Amino acid sequence: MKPFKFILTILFLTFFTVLNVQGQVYLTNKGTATFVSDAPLELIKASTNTVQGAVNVTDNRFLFIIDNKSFLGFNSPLQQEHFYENYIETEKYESSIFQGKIIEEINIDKTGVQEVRAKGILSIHGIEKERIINATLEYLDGILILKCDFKVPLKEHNIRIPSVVYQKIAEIINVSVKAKLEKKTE
Amino acid sequence: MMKLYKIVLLLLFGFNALFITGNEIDLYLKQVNLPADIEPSSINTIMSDSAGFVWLATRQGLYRWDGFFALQYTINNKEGSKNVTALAEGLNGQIWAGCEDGSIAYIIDREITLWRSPDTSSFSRVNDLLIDEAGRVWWGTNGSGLYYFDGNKTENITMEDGLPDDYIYNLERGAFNEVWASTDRGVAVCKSWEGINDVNTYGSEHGLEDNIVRVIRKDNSGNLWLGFHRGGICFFNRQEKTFSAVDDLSGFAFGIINHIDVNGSAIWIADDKNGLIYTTIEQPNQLGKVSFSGDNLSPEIRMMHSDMMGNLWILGKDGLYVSSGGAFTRLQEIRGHTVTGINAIVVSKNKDIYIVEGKNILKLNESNSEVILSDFLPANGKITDMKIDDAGLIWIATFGQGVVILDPESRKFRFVTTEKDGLINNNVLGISIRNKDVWLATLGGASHLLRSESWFTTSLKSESFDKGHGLGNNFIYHILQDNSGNVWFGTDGNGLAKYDQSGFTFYDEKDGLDDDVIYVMDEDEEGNIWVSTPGSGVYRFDGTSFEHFGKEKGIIGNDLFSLSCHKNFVFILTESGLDIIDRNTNIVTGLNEELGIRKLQAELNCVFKIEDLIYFPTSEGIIKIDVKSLSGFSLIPHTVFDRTTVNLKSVDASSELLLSPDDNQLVFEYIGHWYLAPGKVHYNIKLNGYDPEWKSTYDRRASYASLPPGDYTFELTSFLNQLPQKSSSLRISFKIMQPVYSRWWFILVVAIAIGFLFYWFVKSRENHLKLAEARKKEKLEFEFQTLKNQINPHFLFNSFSTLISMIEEKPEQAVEYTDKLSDFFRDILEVKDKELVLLTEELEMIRNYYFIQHKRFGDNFKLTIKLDEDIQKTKIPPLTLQLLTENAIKHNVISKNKPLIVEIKNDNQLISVTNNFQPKKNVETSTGLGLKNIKERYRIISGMEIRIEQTAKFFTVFLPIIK
Repeated sequence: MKPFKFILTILFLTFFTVLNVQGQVYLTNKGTATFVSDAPLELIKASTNTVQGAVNVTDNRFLFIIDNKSFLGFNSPLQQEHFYENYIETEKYESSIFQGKIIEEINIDKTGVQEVRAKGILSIHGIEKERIINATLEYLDGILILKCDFKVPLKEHNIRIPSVVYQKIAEIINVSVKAKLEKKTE
Repeated sequence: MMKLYKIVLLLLFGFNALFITGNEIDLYLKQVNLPADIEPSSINTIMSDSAGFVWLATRQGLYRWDGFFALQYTINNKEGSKNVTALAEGLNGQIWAGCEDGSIAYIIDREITLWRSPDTSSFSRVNDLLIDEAGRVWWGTNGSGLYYFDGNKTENITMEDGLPDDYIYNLERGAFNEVWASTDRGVAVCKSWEGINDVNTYGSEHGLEDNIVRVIRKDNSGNLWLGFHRGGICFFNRQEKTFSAVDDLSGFAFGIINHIDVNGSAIWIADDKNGLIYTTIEQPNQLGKVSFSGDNLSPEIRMMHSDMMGNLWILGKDGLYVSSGGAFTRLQEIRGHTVTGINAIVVSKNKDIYIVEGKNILKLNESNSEVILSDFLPANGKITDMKIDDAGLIWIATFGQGVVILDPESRKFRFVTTEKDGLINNNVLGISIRNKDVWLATLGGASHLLRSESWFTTSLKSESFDKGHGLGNNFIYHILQDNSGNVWFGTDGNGLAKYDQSGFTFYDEKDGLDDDVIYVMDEDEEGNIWVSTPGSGVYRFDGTSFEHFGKEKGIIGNDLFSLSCHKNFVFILTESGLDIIDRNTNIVTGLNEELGIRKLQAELNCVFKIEDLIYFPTSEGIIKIDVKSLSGFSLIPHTVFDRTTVNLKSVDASSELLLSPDDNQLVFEYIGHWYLAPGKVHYNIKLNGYDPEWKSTYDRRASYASLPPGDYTFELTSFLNQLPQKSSSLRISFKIMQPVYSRWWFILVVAIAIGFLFYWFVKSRENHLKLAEARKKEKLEFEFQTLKNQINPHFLFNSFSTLISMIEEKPEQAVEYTDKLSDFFRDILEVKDKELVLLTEELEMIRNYYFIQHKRFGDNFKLTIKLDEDIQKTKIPPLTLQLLTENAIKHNVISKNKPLIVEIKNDNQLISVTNNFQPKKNVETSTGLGLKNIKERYRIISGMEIRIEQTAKFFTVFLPIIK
């Protein structure tokens, strides 16, 4: 295990324990994340289903970690290589993290979809941005289903697109995350 | 309440929703040329202070911008963060800055001090700062709640105290000195007194559209405007304590509200979808999209800030911009149609814009643009003027085809010409419409179209005036129908003509109107007629006389094209730009660089006025003035003293300075803020007491070295065009003190001292001379006396008798006697010039004398001397002892039975000369001066008295000892 990943896991575990102490926690390590780059000349779509996530429904705190190297579904292996090496720079920045607090109250007893806004620090490519992201929550049989869509302007995260491929990569990437989080058993 | 309000609005606007026009506004933007080291995207927030400086809080630190320079304040944080995230101005003008690491800094007199309250351990970013009326400093943080510092200690208000959320976006001071904080979970109203914190919260349950309140701003009436993350804004009525949403009647779909700025009645809203939105406090529901001209603005607007001069600053994503806040604009295109170089523009009451493009008349409104009359002009046709009448008909003056009347609704139109309607000439230069009276200015005179039920009848009746019919000239440039029913004509060569019931009156040179060519006239609210001439500037006619406004009053251009009066302003379009005369102050402000213009061309009399809007079509686009916004805009630079230094040290010059004579090197730094064109400001300065004349300069500092002592006042005015007559200057008074040696009291003291000294000197010299004189006199007398005594014939006779008898009896002793005698006489001659001699010398002499007398009297005369050794070293006036001895011989009987015994001895500090008292019966002739003489000499020489004691047996003289 590489040191960075190790630290990340530690971070995650620490977060866990904190969550654990303070309230009801829902967890997953199988969430899916998809990003779509809809550029004039090319549509790129890639996804991962190893998103780690935790939501504490008592104090509203949350943490999501995406392993940047786990994305699959590029149009070509070369594209994937570019994505890893040139754009997201997985050697330097292994993960993308979104961590913060859900603004609205979470009602565990409510059935149906709840619209909430998650405010936190979105860290991609080493650049941190404070974001408020709209999300939906739904409880089904002790499982918390979380869905959200948000946009990532590449410029904001200092990801530079060479002018040669400018028409092939969108300036704003659409990201959607879906996760089924299970209640952590004591 | 809320519902009723909505119903009324619905009744007013709902049925003809299509006609709702928003508060549209145009801004002419100028990008601020910041120094290269300030990256605009790194600016977190901006603020202008009460002195007019603009503060930029950036990730690299804090800067003060004055239009030319950015003065940097370095924040030396222990944590190493220079990231300034919040700004506020304190009650005394000090600037407060909040940093990313939770620390606070303040600036007083250019000194920045970093401060972290000892009571707080928060390192959360400061999102906003506020100083309340009591001077307390409040700051809202990114996750640690709200803080305030009252001068002694810091209090923290958090969720535990009832704060809805610890993440605070924005703070605002309420009307009752309460502090409003906007958070992710509603707004909090905090009151704090004597350590008790009272927190009230408002959220969606109180009618807020969203709990995430991004921004909260107060207007002049103390009401608050809130902007939401979900989009939309709402209004808090402070009296009724109710929130009411601003209805989106204009059909905007709000994005995330980034910022709200309230200035006077203007409300500026930035959202992330529409860019900038404008509305007013009076009609907040009539939202209008702001369109921009001038420098390109990147679409994302982060914040707006209105400064004290009425400028609106806009912080875009990648740039900082400044504008006049809609007071004046230059439009180069309207809805995609280029409007540079068009000759005329008309705006209807429902804000449809009509312009002529080529041979077509276009109608432009918010939603679309359409051609409502095409190809109506022949190929060589040219339009010269456009007006709209109360019925909404558009009148178009052409050069060669008379006048076109157009009904824009039915698109019906007709030409009014010489041929059909008896117009005096088809070359029409101007149209004047008042109610139903229409006057036309043409190259053949003036035509008055008589009122008609319909302007679309086959032929119209008109009356005409020309050279032969009273008007005196065929070339009429402009006609004005004033409020008193007079008609004014601008003629080419006959000056200004007025037509009323009594006929024509002409005004020209004899009335003080120095130009006989008149281009344009307009009437102001007080009934003055303003006229413009091609080359002699502008005149104001108050009914009796003309007042000239030319170059000396600041009208810059030579060619004057148009003129228009509105409220207290007179607008004059010249080749150099737009001059604005403020009638209250007579100050002229010339706008050109402010609108990116250096030179322009325009048709004569090319101006359109509707409500508070004035349009001047020019070769550089349409200059549009919003007089309502203009009244909140400062047309003169805001002048302040920035810094005053004495010997390079900063001083507080708010009250008169008292400076020592060496503190005579002064530097005044000042600035006239005029951010739209900072380089245009120049200054008149004068140091009263030093400069003989005012100096005009562009420099923003004035240095004076080696000023002589005196009273001075530094005076300063700043101006754009020309120094206004009624200008008030800023002043700094100071006094350089005289050096101590030239202050009056010092001179007086020295003079008196010298006087005394001189007096004393003269007096003492006088005394000295007097004394010397007296001594000399005494001495002479004494010498005379002594000589006289010594060559007293008795003495000589006696001496010779003695000598003879000695020669006979003891010839060897006779030789000795003669020796002694001659010694005695020599001694007398030696000492006669001296004031004092040693007592030993005197004793030598008395011994010689005794020898001589002893030879004569034998043992019948005896002299004994008993003087101590130390006494013999003292001094004595010469011959004193001899004289006293001689006196004793002279006055007493000397015989064998009664021998005379003279005894000289010292007695304490006195020398006494005593003889036994046996006076002669018949005394030798005596002047009696001897004793008196001695007395006087002692008095003069030593200031001491001799004492004479006479008893039955002894006569004693006591002499004081002189050392």
